[in-house]
Amino acid sequence: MALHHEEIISRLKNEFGDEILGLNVIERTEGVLRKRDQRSIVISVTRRVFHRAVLFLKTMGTLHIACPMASREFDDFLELTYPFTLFSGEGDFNEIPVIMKVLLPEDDLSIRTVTDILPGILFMERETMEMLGVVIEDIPDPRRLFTHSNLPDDFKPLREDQLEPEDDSQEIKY
Amino acid sequence: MSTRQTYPLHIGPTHPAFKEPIQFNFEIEGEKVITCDIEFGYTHRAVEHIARERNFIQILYLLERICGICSVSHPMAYCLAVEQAAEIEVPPRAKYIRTIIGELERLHSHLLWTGVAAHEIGFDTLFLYTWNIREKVLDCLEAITGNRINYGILTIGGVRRDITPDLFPVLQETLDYYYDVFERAREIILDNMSVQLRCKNVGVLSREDALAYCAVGPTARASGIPKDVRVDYPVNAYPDIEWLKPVSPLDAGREPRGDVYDRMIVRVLEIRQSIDIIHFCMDNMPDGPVDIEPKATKMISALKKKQGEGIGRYEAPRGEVSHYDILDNREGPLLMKVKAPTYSNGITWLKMFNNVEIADIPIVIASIDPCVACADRMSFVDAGGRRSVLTSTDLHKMSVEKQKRIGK
Repeated sequence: MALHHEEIISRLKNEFGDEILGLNVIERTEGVLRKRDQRSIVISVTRRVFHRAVLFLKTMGTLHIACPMASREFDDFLELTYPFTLFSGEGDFNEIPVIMKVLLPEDDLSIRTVTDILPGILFMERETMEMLGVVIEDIPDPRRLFTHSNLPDDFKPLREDQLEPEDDSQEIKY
Repeated sequence: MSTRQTYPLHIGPTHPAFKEPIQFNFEIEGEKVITCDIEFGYTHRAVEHIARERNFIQILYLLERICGICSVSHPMAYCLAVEQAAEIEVPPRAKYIRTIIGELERLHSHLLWTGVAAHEIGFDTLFLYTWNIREKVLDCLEAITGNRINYGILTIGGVRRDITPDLFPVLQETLDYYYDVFERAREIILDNMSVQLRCKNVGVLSREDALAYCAVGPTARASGIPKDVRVDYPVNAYPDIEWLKPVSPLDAGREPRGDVYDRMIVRVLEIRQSIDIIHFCMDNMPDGPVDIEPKATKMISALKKKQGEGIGRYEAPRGEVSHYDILDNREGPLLMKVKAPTYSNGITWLKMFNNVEIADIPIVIASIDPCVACADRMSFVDAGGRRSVLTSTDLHKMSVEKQKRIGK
């Protein structure tokens, strides 16, 4: 069955109600001779229902992730962004981006893995762990993805307060 | 007690079959791969970190250097993300020029890949043939942009150089050349018995696995997933092209099985598709300006007043390239996150290597068109702990021997 963004939003609202912290649609028109509207759903949910919300998305269509997981730091929390796409594969492939955001408190940077729902997200979760220091609970492979094994465990390269090693002891020794 | 005996086999991190360093750790039983593990990070250059110290325009040239072959794809995804976040409308002519440059890049990337794949199976005549005909498109890119790679043509809000009337004959001559050679090239690549023997039913990625592991680009399309950002989420001139659809092995009369041969079919047919897209863009090229602001400092000042987030998605030759950018009243993005196609397709290797023979490892690795590279180290540790080294020559010899064996 073909997907429509209004239907996805309506079903998410019905299912999660107050657990949705923010919801909007980004609209953009592309094309010169043939105009085509493009819409992306941006939804922010609480950490409590995040895993269930991803599972719920999967009941509506085929879930895919091909855009990078991103993050944004605020004073007391870190916002993680999961740019999923949802498609039915019917007709014009019928792909709808659903960008899901979740807030993690700075004193408890942890979230449950979604590799059980979408195995292809494994590398992104591993990178999130090593670059941002977020603990991905129950991740099947918690190893680092990119950084050198000699780096200190508490060095998280993409955190704003830790852009450079603090002293010589944090330099990589080969 | 199990009598099954397996052996570790390490390939990489640098090896002639790769275009960038990466480590593969296999468990082998006899000649068959049982399990595979991959280690990344040998060429991690912290581009996202470096970008924090650059302004919006400087980042364009940093991103061109993520990948020499996809040197228009990363800046394209970045420009699309920033333009979405800052709500910038690109002039129509610039959209068409972007499409032409992107398709020329796809043309030369697919020809390059075909040559690499041919070399991996010991078919060096085809390797030299495809790389020879690839020169024409590189010459064309040089005539239009000034460079064979790292074109420096994209900018936020348009392109830096127009395709002037005197360049149209150069472009037309290039297209005519590829129209002429395509059928012959297709025949040599796809109908050749050696290619078919080495590529059919090797490195299979099922449709279910391709979906579960989020494959992108030709790798996904070869497994029967009609996914192509140019059709699903089109930008530039792609929404105007009514006949554009994702290429499938079905277009060559073959039911998609997700093997190396299907990936080859998709890339070869996309060469023809790219020629047709460029032709469409030349015939329908709008008049008008090619950018909204030629002065970099003015553009940076304008972007400094913006706040917002944007995702740029672009179908690079290897698959979907996406960038996530956050604008927050700074001279550069607050955050820039990059996702290259190999990042998505790399995890699918774990499935493709199931029951693959050692001699087929290079072609299976190459089949997703990875960004992994050069040098010469492959060690093999046997059960007694004795260690020997197989050089690139040894590995190539094994591949050629298999070719002779199955060709009899």
